[in-house]
Amino acid sequence: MDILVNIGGVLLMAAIVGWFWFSGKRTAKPSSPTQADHHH
Amino acid sequence: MTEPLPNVLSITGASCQGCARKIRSALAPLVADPDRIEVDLANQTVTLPMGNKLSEAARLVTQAGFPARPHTTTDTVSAPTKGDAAADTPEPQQPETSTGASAAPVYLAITGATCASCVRTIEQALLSVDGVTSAQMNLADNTATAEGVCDPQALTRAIVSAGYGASVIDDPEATADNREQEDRQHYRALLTKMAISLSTGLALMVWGMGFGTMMVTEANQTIWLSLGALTLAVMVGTGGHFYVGAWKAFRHHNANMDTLIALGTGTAWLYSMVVASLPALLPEMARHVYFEASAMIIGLINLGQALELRAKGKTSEAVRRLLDLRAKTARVIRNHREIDLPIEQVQRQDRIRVRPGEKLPVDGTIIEGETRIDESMLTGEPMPVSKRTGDDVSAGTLNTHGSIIYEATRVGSDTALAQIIRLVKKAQGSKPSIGRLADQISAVFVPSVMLIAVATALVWYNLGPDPRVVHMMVAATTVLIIACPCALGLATPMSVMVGVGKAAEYGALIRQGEALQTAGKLDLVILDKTGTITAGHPTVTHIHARDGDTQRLLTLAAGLEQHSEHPLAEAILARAMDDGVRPDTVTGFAAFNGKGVRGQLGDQTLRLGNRRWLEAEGVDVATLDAAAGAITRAAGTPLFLALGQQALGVIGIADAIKSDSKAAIQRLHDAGIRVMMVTGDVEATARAIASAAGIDDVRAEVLPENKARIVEEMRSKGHTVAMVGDGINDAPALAAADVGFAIGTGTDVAIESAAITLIRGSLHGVADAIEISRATVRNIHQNLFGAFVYNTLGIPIAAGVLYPLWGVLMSPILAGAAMSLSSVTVVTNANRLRLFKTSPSQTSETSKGNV
Repeated sequence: MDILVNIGGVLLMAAIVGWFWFSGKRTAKPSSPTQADHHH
Repeated sequence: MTEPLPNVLSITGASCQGCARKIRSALAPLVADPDRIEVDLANQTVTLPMGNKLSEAARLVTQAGFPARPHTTTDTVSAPTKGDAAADTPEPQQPETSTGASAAPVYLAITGATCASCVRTIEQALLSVDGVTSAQMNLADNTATAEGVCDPQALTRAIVSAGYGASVIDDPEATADNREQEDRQHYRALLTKMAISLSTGLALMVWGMGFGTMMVTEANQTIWLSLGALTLAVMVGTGGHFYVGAWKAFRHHNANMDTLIALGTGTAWLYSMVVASLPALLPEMARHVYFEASAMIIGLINLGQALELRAKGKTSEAVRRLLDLRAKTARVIRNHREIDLPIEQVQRQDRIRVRPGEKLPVDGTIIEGETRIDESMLTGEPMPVSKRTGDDVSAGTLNTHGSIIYEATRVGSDTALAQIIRLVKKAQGSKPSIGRLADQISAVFVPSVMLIAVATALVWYNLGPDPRVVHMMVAATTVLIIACPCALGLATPMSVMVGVGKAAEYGALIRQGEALQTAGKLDLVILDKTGTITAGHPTVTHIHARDGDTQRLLTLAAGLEQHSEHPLAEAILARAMDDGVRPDTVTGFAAFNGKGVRGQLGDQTLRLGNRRWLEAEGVDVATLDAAAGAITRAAGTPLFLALGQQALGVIGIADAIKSDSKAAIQRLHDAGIRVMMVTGDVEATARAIASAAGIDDVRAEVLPENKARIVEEMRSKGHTVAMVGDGINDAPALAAADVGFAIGTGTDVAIESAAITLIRGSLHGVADAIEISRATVRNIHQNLFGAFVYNTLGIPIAAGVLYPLWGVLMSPILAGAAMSLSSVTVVTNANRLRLFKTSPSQTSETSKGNV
């Protein structure tokens, strides 16, 4: 049981990383320079 | 009329030499020698060597962050002075391309955004649309701005597909009214939801503690299952928006505040349902239900959002106040009849009557009557200003004294007031670079919190005491609830909204949030002389009569000068009018260029002119040497008056220092800022003015085109430099400075080259803007610090780091309360800025506000 919970937890973490970091939103283009990026 | 010029691009957003360099390097693929590309910052144009593809160049420059299009002949007329151009075109058209794409900024009203993660998602969605060069989302008033050549419908589609609602704002003023009404409804709805969910949660808690237990037994299992179903109904009914938001974000691979709330409350409810339906699965000690936690967390967050909405309403007070200045109707004279017309129907060249105590409906020029007008609401100038025939008046100001008739020159969205409202709203939505840090962090924040929650659960499961399952669930839920980044998302925009609004109250219009940040760091202010430190036109500064009768002297001088059109004559006549002196009757007037004027008073000759001429005419002026010397030393011009062969006195005329310049410069000194003057005047005059005004450093005999070079030189020495000038001749220097202040004339608010426009022509505006900027930046730092500290302390405590020490594990309900409190605290702190007062204008002893 304990092993199952731990494996489940680790898989859940991997799923979170995969879903939010390595899929979908990586396609968004990087932000272009804006006024705020200026030195003043 | 609108033919493109063959090799010129019209650009926007280029404000400094750094921008010019970027533009040149962006055009490198097209132009072999970048030095042949001329970037004109003042007129916002780029001139290329002949024979280049202009559309390709426009694309490259737009990609570099400066929206560009081929320059047209219309631009040539309108580019330098936007205000004037607006006056000529009552219905300004947005430049449009054949696809319906717009080059003007597009404003969007956003729904469903709750935290810093949403801000990031929405900005990225906008940037992913073709042609968008910059995008900003303002969480404080739920609007987004996209710049570049883009189709507004594509922008709304991009936001909707990212999981939020969006609509294009066509009329910002009407939208503000609608939004206020929506906010009121939303506020009431949140309070109702809060009441339902909190009372359900409290009832469950009281029932659990008072009548039994929160532990599931065989006897109460059915009751708990029914209560679980009731809780679910309450959660969906009062917190449905969190679950919908979380689902939309999840589908788009995003996570936001809704995700954390949905996961936290969902985990608690799901665990409780497992306990209630299958208690045998868990050890006896772990059969505890947490239905009340789910309901109460949603109740507390609804309460937090209601309080936040209320406080947000106050931050936009400045714009509301400006909107309220608009009159609803105007009394228009048509066909010799006075009729009350709705303001929308007033046209240019209409004649409008305004009685004492009434607001002026549109901008115009007085054609009949004299009055005093209270312009404090626009300029911050407390004293009503005298106006007579020929003077300009502005919409929104108050006629305090006489009845006037004036001709409308600017109506509708072209009035100075409408321009001010647009400018303030735009600046309130823009974000200084310190705010970007919060956005970058929040992009990875929520998924990271989810990882921490799972890791916390695993640690409690493996290392925690019994009941392990309960501890694991409680700690993970608490981490999810406490870590909401809403305070982080509100920290910067809230303060910027209040700060920009506050500056507008003092007559300083800030164009960009970034200027607010830079203005707080200034250590050197460079002032132009004419029109900035001085009034910009000659005035009488000294009157010295040999017999002490200065009134008589002025009567005679005005009598002579009333026949002249020389600027010096105007100064003498203006002084006579101010002093209530009637000019004497002088006949036989004659003017001698570069010498003076002559006339007959009775049978005697009256002369007013320079020393050399009078001496040549045989008048002895030696007795007036001392007075004339004092005038020369004060950078003035002495004019001698003689009746017959007898010298009567001397009048000093100079471009006088404005009455409040010295006090304003003292305020800058008190703020630790050095003050330098640049002028085209000769050294002696410049030094005289500088020493009278208390200026530290002088650069005299500087050609207008070299002012920008001096600004660059001081910047290269490590100073953060402000340039203060008139916005037209000084445009290159204003653009070259870290912050350009344009001293306006009351109606000229759209000065493109300056980051800050001062509507009131006083240097106090510079000191006010700097003090407000410093207070705002301090306020942003407090907010960001608070939000970061809250999260960095809150998460470990929620995860249970205090448990090994004191056996304390935070309750998820407390986490819900803390989370609501954090955003309410940030918004309240930003609202504290509304009470900020700049240091007193007239004294050198400053007592700064406490913000």
